Formats: sequence, structure tokens, C-alpha cells
Amino acid sequence: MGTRKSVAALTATEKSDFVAAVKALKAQTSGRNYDWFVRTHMTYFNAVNSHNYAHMSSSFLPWHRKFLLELENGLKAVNPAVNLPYWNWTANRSTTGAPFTSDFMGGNGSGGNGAVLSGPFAGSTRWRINVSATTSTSLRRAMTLRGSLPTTSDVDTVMGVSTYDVSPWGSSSGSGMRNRLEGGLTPNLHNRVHVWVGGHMAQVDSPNDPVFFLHHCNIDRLWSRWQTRWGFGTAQYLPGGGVANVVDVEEVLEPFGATVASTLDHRAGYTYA
Amino acid sequence: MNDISRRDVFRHGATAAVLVATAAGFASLASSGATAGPGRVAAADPRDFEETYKGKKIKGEHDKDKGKHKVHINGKKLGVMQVELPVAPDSTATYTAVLSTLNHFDPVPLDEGNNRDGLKKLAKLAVDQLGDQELTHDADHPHP
Ligand SMILES: [Cu+2]
Repeated sequence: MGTRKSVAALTATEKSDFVAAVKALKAQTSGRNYDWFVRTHMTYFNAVNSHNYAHMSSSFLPWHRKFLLELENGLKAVNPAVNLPYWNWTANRSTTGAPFTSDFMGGNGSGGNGAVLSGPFAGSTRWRINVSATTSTSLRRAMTLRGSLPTTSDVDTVMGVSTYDVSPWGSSSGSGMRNRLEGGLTPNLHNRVHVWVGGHMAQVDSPNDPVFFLHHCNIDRLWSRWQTRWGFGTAQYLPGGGVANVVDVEEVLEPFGATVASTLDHRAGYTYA
Repeated sequence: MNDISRRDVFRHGATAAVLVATAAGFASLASSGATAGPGRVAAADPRDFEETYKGKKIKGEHDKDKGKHKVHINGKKLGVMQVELPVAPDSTATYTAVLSTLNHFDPVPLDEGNNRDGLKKLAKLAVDQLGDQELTHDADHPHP
């Protein structure tokens, strides 16, 4: 069982092990390598088989939970000691502090919207962008130009909403925890962080920036925190069944071949420190 | 969804603006119809645009009925998606917005009133995001 720690609590070895494993997954030439995750995120941004599996739907949280687990398993195949860390942006809010240090994710893009200049992912020889909506082969960031980071009180507001999601189970859901967390509804914890980092993180190919996984690990941690308060059971996920084109609790999340129900209680597989 | 959003625009007090925009729309349709050649297939939406922004050619075609708007930047297609978003917590009223493969988490409101230039704003955002880059074929992600 793994323990997922805050990026601010990682040791120097944990940071370098994580970076090395991510780079090994990138260099892998077959199977679910790093670029497979980028491509899959792009494909599943839209409806597949008339289902919005990944975004603007109830299954946003379980789909990304499986997506992260799949990546974490890929990293563990390289080095079993590696666990996904999370970026708690309510506490780590600087463009130069954790996780944006030169021994980990590196810093901002040059000139505000250009290539990242420092750290292990700076420049296309260290980290090449192969699958993208834009032509740059180097990782880009444009931190703070748009978007913003949620505060502790924003998080507390979302954690206090007891209903998981409401009809029509999409971007227009006017209540419920999921849309407030995803960002269709204020206070918006997920979407605006993508925008705040900018560059590749703002695009459909956002997993090109490894920070994607640290941000989504934090989103998963917050869902887990919500579950700790309101319950890990299947009754706490909505819709419960019979809603066409929405992934109900017993329906399968593609491309993972696992039901939503099977993702809900993660505690036997990993926990958050 | 389109019908709902249009009703909501009315519900949210933009009635006058929408009516004015519609009237202006008909006027420009009529005049463009008079000068259009025989090759013209469909009447253009009055919000359509084709211009240069920061050195890049941006072109936008609205699809009022189905919401499948088209944006091209320097001739390359940008994937655009129309979404409905709640106007406020605990409200069932929604507004229409557009997002693109480059501004994926940052929807821009689009209607026929105060936000009639929403698609152009989205195209300009994409150009800002591009900087010295161009779109690739993956910028036009598949639509259902
Ligand atoms: Cu995300």
C-alpha cells in the first residue's frame, strides 16, 4: 500500500526518484507510456460512446482516479518506491516554491508564455512534447497570467456539500459537490488551477506537464477527504443508475474497464498523508 | 440545450439586447444576400468574423442551431466546444459558453446580446496562448 505525500514534504531522493520514473515512462516505447496518458486525456475530453467519461460529468472524479492509478502503476513498474505526490495549492502558492523548484517540476515559462527554462523538464532534449494541439516541442508555462489558486475556505465550502452531484450530471449541474470541485460552478477548485499554470496545462493535452498529475492528485485527495466525511460507499456516488449517457455507479469507466463502484474505496490501495 | 439556453438568456434580462442584435442580424443578412454571388450556400451569421489578430488570421463561423461553431487560425482548425454552465449555485438557469482545445478550462460566454463576440474572444485567447506556435492537427479533436 502506498502513501501519497505533499510535494512540500518530499525528500531529495523522493523527488529525484519521481522525476526519473516519469522520464523512464516517457522513454518507454510501447504499452501505456507517458504519451499514452496525454493521448488518452485528449481522446476522452469529448464524449466516447456517447458518454462524457472524463470531464463535465459525474464520472470526472472516478475517471481521473483510475487515470492517476494507471500512471502511478506505470511509475511503480520502474521503481516500486515511487508514489504520486500531491500539490496542495492552498498552501503552496508561489511560482518558485514547491512543486516549481529546479530539482522537481522546474519554474515558469520564459517571457510569461514561453518554454520552461529550469529543472528536469526544461527544453525538448530533456522532455519532448510529442502529442499536442500546438507545435512547441518544449514544455510551456504561463503562471499567474490568467486563473487563480483556490483558498482553504474555497475548499471548505466544497467539502461541506453533502450531495455528490445533481441532474443533469454535467457542466450545467447547478448544485452538488462534483461541479463545484470540477469548476463548472463556483468556487471552482479544478479548472482555474489549470488556467493559473497556463501553457500546456491550459490545453487539452495538459498531461504533457507532469504538474498535471500533482494537481489531479490533490483533486483526488480532496474527493477522498469528502468521502471520509460523507462516506466511501456506493450510495454516496450519483447517479445511482438508469441515466442514459452518464456513467452510473455500476457502469464501466472506459478505457479502464473498471466500474465506478470499484474506484470508490481506495484505502486498501493508497492513502493520503 | 440550445433552446434552454436561449430561454435562459431571456429569463436573465438580456431580452432587449437580444432583440436588437437579432434585428441587426436580419438587416445584415438581407444586405449580404443582395450582394452575394450564386456560389453562396448558406447565409452567414452576423457574428461571423475573418480578420488578423497579432499577425495570425482568425476566422469564425457560428452554428446557431447546433452549437458546432468553427474557428480557424492561419487556416488550421481549432476544436471548439459549446457548453452550458449554471448562472449561480442552486439555480437551474444556465448560460452558453464556448471553450477550445487551447483554452480548455476557461469558458467564454457566447450569446446574441452582450456576449455576441464570445467566439472571437475565444479565437483571440487561442492566439495569445499560441504566441509563436501554430495549431497542429490535434487541435481539432474529434467531436461526437
Ligand atoms: Cu484537470
